[in-house]
Amino acid sequence: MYQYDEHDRALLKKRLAQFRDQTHRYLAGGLSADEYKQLRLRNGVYEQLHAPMLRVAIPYGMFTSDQMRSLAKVADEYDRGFGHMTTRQNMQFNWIPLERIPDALEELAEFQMHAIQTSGNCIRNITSDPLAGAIGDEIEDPRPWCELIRQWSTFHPEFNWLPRKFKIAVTGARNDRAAIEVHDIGLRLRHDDNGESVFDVWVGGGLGRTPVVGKLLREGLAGADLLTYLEATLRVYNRAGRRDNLYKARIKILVNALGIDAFREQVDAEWEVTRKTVRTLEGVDIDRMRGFFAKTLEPQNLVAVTPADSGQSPAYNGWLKQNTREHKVPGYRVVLISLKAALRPAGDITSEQMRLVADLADQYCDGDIRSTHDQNLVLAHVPVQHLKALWGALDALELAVPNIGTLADMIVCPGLDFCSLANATSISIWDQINERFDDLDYLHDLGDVKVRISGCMNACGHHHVADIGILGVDKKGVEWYQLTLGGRSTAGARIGQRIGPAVAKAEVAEAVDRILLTYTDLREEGETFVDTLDRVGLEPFKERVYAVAA
Amino acid sequence: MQLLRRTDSATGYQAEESVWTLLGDEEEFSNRAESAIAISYTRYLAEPELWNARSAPWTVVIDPTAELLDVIPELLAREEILVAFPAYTDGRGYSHAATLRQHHGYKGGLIAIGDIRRDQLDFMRHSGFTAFEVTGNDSVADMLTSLGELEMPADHRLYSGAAL
Repeated sequence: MYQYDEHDRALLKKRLAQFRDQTHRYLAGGLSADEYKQLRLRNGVYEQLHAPMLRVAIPYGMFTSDQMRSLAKVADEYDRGFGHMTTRQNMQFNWIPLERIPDALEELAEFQMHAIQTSGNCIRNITSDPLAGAIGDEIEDPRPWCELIRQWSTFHPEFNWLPRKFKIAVTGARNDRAAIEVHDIGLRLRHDDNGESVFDVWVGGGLGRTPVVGKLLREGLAGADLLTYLEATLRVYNRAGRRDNLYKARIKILVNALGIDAFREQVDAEWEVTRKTVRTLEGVDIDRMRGFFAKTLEPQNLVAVTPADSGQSPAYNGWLKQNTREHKVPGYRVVLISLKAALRPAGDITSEQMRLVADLADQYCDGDIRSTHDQNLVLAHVPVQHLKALWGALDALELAVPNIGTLADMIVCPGLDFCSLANATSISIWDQINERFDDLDYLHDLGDVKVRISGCMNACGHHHVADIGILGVDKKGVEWYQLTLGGRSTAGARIGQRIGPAVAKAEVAEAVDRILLTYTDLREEGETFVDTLDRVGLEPFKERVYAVAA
Repeated sequence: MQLLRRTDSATGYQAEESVWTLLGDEEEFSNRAESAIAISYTRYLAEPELWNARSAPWTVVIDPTAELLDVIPELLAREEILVAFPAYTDGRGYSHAATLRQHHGYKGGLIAIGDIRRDQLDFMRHSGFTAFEVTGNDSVADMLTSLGELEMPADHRLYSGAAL
């Protein structure tokens, strides 16, 4: 992975000193709460319901065992012994005293970690494919490009005060695991006819109050022009994006208002300017960056490894089938670590678990750890002969529940238990659904049905792009939940449709059950949830959900 | 109006009284015929000939909504241009500075005026500003302390604050 050079280290140190001073000035009364808010946000610090929250960046979801241990240390010494993985591949701490945050950041900085631009109206952490460099459907590893974008966007002087936050995602695989079509800018890395790296650029996607699927802005952008083109797009947005209404300020609103063609014209005009600046990438830039991520894996002696491996326990085989993926190099597997055991909130991880994962990464995966968009972790290159031992170690700390890609693998925002924006709880619904659907065989039979829960219309739980989306709303102080069906964030992304009136809190699992029964009753051989929904329409689902209980 | 202005000296910046008198869009200017006047870019565009013919020093204030891709040569002939930040959270002025520098190759002084805060000075500097209004939000000493806190690696190929 990328290693900081002296410039990166020096810059991080300066930022830390600056933020320490800003925090000191605020606590001493020299900086107003409003002004400090803007400064702390750009350092990942929110004021939540009960305590400040610190969101630590995990650039493109890639980190090392040492970094994981430093996160565990922060969890123990500054927080309450756990962290929370977010949908943007970052880690949040929920109970961290404000005056201690600079010290916590200093601990993390030792290991090249920070919280820069993880919030605020600026370019946020770059997200990408958590299986990069390991999975067979990859065209090119996106991470070197992500790192180029990370450096370009860090403290970009022009884009620190955008109309609203700005999220960029990059995929380099045939299957999009980075949800690029629902980002402010989504980049699809591929090769042109000459084998050169090019990008298809999507713009104006996003969830929140106004969910929109991104539009194709440019096809086949040369890799050398990546930063000049991003700079042009951001400049158009910075100048023309709305600043009069917080809820109309994202780039999707601008793109929709202008129309994609007019927007493209403006970007192209600006690109004529930016492509003449110093930001054009040269071969040496990208080659150097690729060097950090190149990994040679010698094919291993092929040990028989199939989920049906007789002589192994059903529990191990179940895990192998559900929680591991084929690696592009024979003799390795990609291992997904589920943070969806029902005993704690989705995406939460204890410091003990963090240390175990770090040790296992050192033992079996060269210290390489990934965080995923759906709040799990990955060990990307595990030699097959170590799978059994790895499974045993993970299982001992509840990290091997074979539920990856099942209904139980929900994305769940922190909701009203933590978040000051939320209208309703999310974790209670996660618990309710887990309680109702505790039969793993049934979940495996259902297949890949995505359930996602947001505690308010800001949609951090990505409910718009779930097979079954659940949105918490507040009606006169009472929690209600709206259900949407048929969304997805992979290629050909689409927004879920509302099924009908919101259901009462106690009825959510029952409603989900009825939706699933409708699916299993009506599905034809090989049909996914969305296939069946598209064929039969919303009506049968609606009828069953709202039928009065007999 | 007091400014903190970049100098060639080793100390880097010095505080000084600005020569510019801001003239509101409705304000008469005949009684200030000899002083250095800064008018809004909008006011300039309404009567460019009048201003182009003026012998005493004049310049314009670029406000956030200005459109600068096609500016006229007289603007670029100004020794200094003022860019307004009505609120420090409104980042359009940074793009205006970048457009003047990168697109038009403007080499003169760029003065940030309005809601100027010490914690934003480095971002302004990296965008091409050479002077900042001293508003009373922060003392000159505090502004000087903040300048350079976030110094970018010199000649870095990727960090966007470098190489300016």
